[in-house]
Amino acid sequence: MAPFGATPAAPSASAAQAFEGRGTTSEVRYALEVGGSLHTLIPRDSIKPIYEPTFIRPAEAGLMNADLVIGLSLNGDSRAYPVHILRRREMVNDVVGGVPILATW
Amino acid sequence: MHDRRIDGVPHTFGNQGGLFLQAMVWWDHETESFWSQPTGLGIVGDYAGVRLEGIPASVETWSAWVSEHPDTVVLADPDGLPAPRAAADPFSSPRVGEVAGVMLGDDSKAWYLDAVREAVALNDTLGEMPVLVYANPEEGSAHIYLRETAERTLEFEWTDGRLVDTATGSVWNGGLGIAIEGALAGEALRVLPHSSAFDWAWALHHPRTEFYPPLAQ
Repeated sequence: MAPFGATPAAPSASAAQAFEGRGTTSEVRYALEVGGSLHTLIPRDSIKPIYEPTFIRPAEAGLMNADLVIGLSLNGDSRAYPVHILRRREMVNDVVGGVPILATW
Repeated sequence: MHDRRIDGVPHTFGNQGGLFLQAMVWWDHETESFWSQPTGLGIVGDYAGVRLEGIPASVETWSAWVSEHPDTVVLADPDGLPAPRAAADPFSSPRVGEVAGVMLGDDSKAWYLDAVREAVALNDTLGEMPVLVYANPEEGSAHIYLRETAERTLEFEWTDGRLVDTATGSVWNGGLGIAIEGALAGEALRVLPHSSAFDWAWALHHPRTEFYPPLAQ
């Protein structure tokens, strides 16, 4: 049984429930006020998202068997997003099988 | 992985460069609302309270993915860098506290990967829904399904290196959720979108979550 690791202070139960309560703008704002704060660390998009992804065939990708990918298959369209690219770029706006998707790490 | 349509309209998402409850924050180009990654929930701006729909996707080794999806294409590296090469097998030991978590309606539950890998197949429930949690025994990636067909609820077991349902003895491909042999051959389970996370981060964003195994009180 893995214990919880060191964790920052959790929001109070009521704030947490408000945040989780799918809901209204006021609930979410309340949770933000009392439950958690939004920290800005670095300028927007300084970790550059991939807005116009391009794709290659497996033989060109240079992947090895144990390399990790996020795999997505929609409407017969199968795409692999190598984790080592996602670690560096964090976000991909893509369209897969006609569905606009957001892949994040 | 999320569907980036809101009321049917595609939106474009960027990186806000901040943290909310210790997790990444996105911004959308259309309204500049802020979004929290673990839940796909709008937290500030016009879309506060709106949730993006999750899409089933899985973290797998390249060999597992390409063997089941031989026609796959691969994201090209926009920076043109070679893949880093680590000596260690990332699955040789699960990282402590790593979970696969699912939100379904108002319910959420997270399964510790080390427990799932030990069992290979777990029959569990999430709220009222029967759920199969499966870990690929070779490379450890998690796959989560509703364990029911139109006719019945199924229970699964991992026996002699095969995933079978106890009602009919049909053999299933656990990576795809499809019966490949037996009376149910061709049946497919509904895939549930899950997130990979550490337990403390999952609990921060899903404060009413359950865990498997349950946490000691």
